[in-house]
Amino acid sequence: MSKPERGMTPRVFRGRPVFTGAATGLAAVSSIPFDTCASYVDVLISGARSGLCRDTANEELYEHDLIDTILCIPQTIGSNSATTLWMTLVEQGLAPRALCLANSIDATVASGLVLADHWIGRRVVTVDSLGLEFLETVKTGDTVKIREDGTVEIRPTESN
Amino acid sequence: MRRNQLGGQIGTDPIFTPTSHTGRPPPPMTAPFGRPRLTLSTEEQALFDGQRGPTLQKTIRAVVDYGEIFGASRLIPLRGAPHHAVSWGSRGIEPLLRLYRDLADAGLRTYAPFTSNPKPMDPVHLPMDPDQLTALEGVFGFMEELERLNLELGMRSPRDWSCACYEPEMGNTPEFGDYLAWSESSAVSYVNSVIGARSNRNPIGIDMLCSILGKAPYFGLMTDRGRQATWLIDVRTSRLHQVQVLGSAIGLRVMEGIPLIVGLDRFLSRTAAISNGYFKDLGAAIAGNGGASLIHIEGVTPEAIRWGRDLLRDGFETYVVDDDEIERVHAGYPNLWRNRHGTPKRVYLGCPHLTVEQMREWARRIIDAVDAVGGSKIGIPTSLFGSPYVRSAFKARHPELADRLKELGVTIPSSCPMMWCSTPLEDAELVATNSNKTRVFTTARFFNDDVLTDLIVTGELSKGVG
Repeated sequence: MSKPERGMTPRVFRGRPVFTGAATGLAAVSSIPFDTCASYVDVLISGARSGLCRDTANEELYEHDLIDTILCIPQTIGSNSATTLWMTLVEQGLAPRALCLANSIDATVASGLVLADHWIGRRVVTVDSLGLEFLETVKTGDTVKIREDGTVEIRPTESN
Repeated sequence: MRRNQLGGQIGTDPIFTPTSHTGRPPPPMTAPFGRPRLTLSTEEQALFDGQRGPTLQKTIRAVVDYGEIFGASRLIPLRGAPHHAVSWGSRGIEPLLRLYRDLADAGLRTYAPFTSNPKPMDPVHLPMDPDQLTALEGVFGFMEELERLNLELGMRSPRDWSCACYEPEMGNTPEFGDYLAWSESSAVSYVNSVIGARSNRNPIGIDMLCSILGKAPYFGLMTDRGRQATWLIDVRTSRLHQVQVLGSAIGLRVMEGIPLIVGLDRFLSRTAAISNGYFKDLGAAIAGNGGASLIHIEGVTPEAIRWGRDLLRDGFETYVVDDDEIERVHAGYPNLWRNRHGTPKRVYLGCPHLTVEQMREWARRIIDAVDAVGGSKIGIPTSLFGSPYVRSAFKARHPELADRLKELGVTIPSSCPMMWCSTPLEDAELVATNSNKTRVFTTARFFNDDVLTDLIVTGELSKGVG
């Protein structure tokens, strides 16, 4: 597949609304699977109240503050303790505002966000199955607007 | 203290491969993209509407939401008994403990008494110095609360912590066709494959909620179609290789596909492979290296006996495993020790927990090797991990071996070796193991049984190995 051209016109993708809702924010993009526990190791181990990505294996997001971002990733990987980590992130206001996944959501993040939705009463809007072209198009810093029907609009920033 | 090299992956089932983490791939998503609705019975709908209180309402709503994400069509009643993966009371599980507290405060209990994965520590049978104990108590400061809540919610007894809960001595053994909502990958693989029970690999939290409801979402490995094989694994080796490497080769290839393995029945009888842990370790290695939570073995596992190659789905892929392939896979294992040529500090055997027969075999092997060189002690701290029930049975059936192991200095803890290796203890570095699961999820190095035996006796890796 050829690399999609980027202009200033918004690009629109359609995914599956997993946790429905509307959200707008700035994209934080990783082209490699997102390791939840490694990314939030400071929260997991020392209870830090930080949204900084600490995964040294993720060069695109390392040291990037992910709080309130629209996290755009292929999918997540990592320990099953990520389920409770997602609950912690949501509870403490450290989570991204929304998740946009190129592939299908996996069970670990799905369960964490389901439990956060019902037990903490806070939802992280999530759209999955957006496809790899979505991930090739969106860049960190772009404005991403998610609609309830799973439509995701990317507005490139000038610097990108 | 060292910083955990795997970024705090405390837990029992880290999966570093991009899979669904349910044990098999989800069906491809095609438009229209709306989440399919799960059909509820009248009784379930009443729970959903809150007619039996807000906690049960949240419970069923969470289970339904989770099921709908993965395409479940309905809820299905569970049989057998639950087994849960959460066994580590670290800071990271605080939100889950609050959820457990909610359930307990509402007077809810699981549909049947449950067992749980092994604890991270066993101070009685795996002694630590005071600094180590203090450090681990800091990491796992919520263990007492987890145990208290588990017992309130229906845990069978304070002894029932083991990943191999299905072993006859522990007795959480489901029957063919039972629907379950288990979460520990090796246990899910075992009961699906060897027994023919039906469980997806459930995430932590969802397992407990399903156990409270007594029902689970019906999708994936619970369905006939979800259990069809997508891979034919043609084993053409000249002999029965160490199971852990064969499992790793298959897991790395099929990821979350379902393998039907042919050619293994040349070497295996079902009875022997159960007692000597072959199936247990094969499934754990496949699940750990890939993610598949069901394997069929031609002529051996119950569904393969019943349906044979009809289990293969149209369009299946084929993977041939021969002696060269086993060697290639083994040679590709990385050495993750920071001091790559350091001398190992511990030998850990039993991930998943050993069977009684495996304990007997290792005891015989170690004793014979020590006797052969006229020794009186082993050369490196060595532990054989097994459930408290298996340990008791081993001591009862083989008292002379158990006594001799104790004299030599071999310990038999009932904790989780993998979790211990994931701690920031300095001593967690430089662990040698024959477990592929431990190899994948920690910095421990994998060696074959002969190398490990030599290491146990001498305390040194043989020349040319390190």
